[in-house]
Amino acid sequence: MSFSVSADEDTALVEQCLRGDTNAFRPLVERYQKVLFTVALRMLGDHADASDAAQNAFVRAYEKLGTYDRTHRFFSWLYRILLNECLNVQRSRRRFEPIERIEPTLAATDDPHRAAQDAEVKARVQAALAQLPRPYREVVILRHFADLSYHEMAETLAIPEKTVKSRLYSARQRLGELLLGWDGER
Amino acid sequence: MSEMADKDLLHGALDGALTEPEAERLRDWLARDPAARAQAEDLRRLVELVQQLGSAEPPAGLSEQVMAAVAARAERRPVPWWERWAAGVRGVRQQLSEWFAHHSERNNWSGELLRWASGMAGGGAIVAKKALWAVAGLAVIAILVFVYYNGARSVDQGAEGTIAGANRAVGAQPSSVNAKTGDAQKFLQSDTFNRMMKSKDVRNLLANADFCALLASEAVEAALRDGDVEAALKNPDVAAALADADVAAALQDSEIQAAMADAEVQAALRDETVEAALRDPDMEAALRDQDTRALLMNDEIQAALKNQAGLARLFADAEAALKTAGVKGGGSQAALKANQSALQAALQNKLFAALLADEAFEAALRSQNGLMMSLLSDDAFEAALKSDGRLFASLLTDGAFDAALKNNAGLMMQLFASDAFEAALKHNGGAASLFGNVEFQSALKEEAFIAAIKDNGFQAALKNTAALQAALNKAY
Repeated sequence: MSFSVSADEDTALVEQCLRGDTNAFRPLVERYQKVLFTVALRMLGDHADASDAAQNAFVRAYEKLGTYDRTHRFFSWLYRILLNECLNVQRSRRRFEPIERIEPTLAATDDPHRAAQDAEVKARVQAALAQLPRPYREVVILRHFADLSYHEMAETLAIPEKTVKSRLYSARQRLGELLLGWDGER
Repeated sequence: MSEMADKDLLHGALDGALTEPEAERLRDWLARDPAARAQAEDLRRLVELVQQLGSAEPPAGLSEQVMAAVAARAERRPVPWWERWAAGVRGVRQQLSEWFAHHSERNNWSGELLRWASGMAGGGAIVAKKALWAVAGLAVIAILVFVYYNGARSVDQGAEGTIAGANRAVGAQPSSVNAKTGDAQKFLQSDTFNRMMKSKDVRNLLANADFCALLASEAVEAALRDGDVEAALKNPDVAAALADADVAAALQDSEIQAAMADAEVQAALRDETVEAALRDPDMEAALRDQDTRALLMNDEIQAALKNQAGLARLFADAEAALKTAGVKGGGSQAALKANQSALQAALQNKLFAALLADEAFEAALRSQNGLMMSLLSDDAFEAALKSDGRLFASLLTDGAFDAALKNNAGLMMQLFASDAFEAALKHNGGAASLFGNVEFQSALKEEAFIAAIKDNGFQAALKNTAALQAALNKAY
C-alpha cells in the first residue's frame, strides 16, 4: 500500500468532511477498508470482531476528524484509532483467543487435500501471530499486511525507525521459532 | 561487518529497504558465507509463510454500514466551533485563492495587489505568503471600501483617521452607493466588516499610500464593475465564511494561523483529554462565546493559570487566585473572599469579560491590580454590572472619558476604586451599556485566546478534565 500518492487526496477529503460534506468520507472508507479490516483480523483473529473494530474505527475517525493532523498520513492516524478499537474488542471479550475462534477457510480448489493443508498453515501462522507480544505483532502486521515501510511504520506507531527494525527482527525470530522450529538466532 | 549490520542487511533485503551499495554488500557476504545464505533462506521461508495469510476481504456492506453510522452522527453531531472555524478558514482561503487566481489571469489589478503584498512583506517567502493571504482575505473588503470612498481618500490620512472615516461611513449608510453594490452595503454594515476595519492589518493596509493608490486606480474601478466581483461576493461559501465572525477574524489574524500550524497547539488539540474537554457542551459553549474566550485570554487570568496550575484553582479557590492576581492587604482579601459571589458573577458576565479584554483595562490590571481587584469584588460593582443604568454608561462611553481611560489607566483605576465612584455606581446604575458598546466589544482580541491555548498552564488546565469540569460547572 502506497500512501504518498493518496496523501493529498486524503487531506482534501478530510477538509471536505470538515466543511460538512459527509459523503466525502466514503472514498476514505473505500480506500482503507480492506487494509483496516485485514489489520484488525490479524490483530484479533476473528472476522466478526475485526469487522466491528474496523467499522467502529471508521466511525470514530469521522467523529474525530477535526483532530487529524494533516502533517501525518491519514492511515497512520486511522491505524491508531483502529488499535484502540481492537483493544476495546479484546477487553469486551475479556481474553484474546484467536486460535480457537478463527476457522481455517478452505480455498476453492480442485485439490481438497492441498486446500486443507493451506488452511491449516494459515491457522498456524495466525495462531503464532497471536502469541507475539502486541508490539511485535503490530510491526509484523503493518509490514506484511499493510505493506508499510520502516519509515511509515515508525510514523504510524510513533516510535523511532530503529525501534521498528528491532521489534520486527525480534518478532520474526520468535515466529521462526514457533513456525519453523528455529533453535538459534537468525 | 558488525552483527547488527548483518541482520539489518538480511531483513532489509526482505523488506526492500536496501540501497544499492547495501545490496552489493549483502551479495558479497552471501557469496562467501554459507551460514549467511542459510540464514537468508530461513528468513525468506518465514516471510513467505507469514504472507500466505494474505489480505482479507472486508465483509460486504462494511462501507455502507460505516456511511450510515456517519450520516446518523453527522445529523446530531454539533461540530465544535474550532473545527468549523478551522475548516472555514481553510475553505475561505481556498475560495479566495481560486477567485484571485482566476481574476489575476483576467484583471491586472489583482495581480498588482498580490505583487504589492509580496513586496510589502519584504520578499521573504514565508512572510510574503502570510501577507499574501492576509491581503487576499482583505482584498474584498478593500474593494468595498473603495466603493465608499471612490478613490478619493487621501493617502496622507493616518490609520486612525482612516478607520474613523470608515466607521462614519458605515454609520452614515451613504445613499451614493450604487444599486449594484447592494451586497456591499449590507456587508459594510455587518459586524464582520466592523471587526475587520478595526484590525491592525486593515489599518496598515488603508494607511499605505501604494495600496490607496491602487484602490484609486482605473484597474480597480474596472474590477468593481466586473460582474464576477459581485458574483464572488454572492458566492454562498464565501459569504457564509465571511459572515462567520470567527472565520473573519481568523482570516486576518496571522497569529491564529501560526498558532494553528503550531505543533504544540495541534498536539494539544489532538490530545484525547483536551478533545474530550473541548467536546464538553459546557466548554464548547463557553469557548464559542467570544467574550468568554476574551476573558480566558486576559493576561492576569493567564498569569493566574500559570501560577495556580490551572483554571480549576482560579475558580475553585478564589482567594488564591486573587492573590495571584495581585490583591494586596488582608482587608481587601477578606473583602474579596466575602464577595466571592460578586466576583463569580462578574467573571460570568460577558460584558465584563469584554471589558477585561480591553487594552486599557489590561494595563490597569497590571499597574493597579490591587485596586482593580478590589473594585471587581465589590458588590457595588456587581450591582452596576447587573443594572442597566444609563448615566454610568454614558459617562464611560464619553470620548473624553474613554481617552482618559486609555491615557491614564492608573488614575482611572484609582477613581474606579474610590468611595465616590462606588457611590456613583450604586446610585447611577451599571456599566452594561458600556460593555455592550461596539467600541468596547471591538477591543476583543482573538489572538489572546490562541496565546492562552499555547500557554502551558492553559493546556495543563485543559488536560485536567476533572478539575476543568468542576471549574466550568462552577463558572458557567
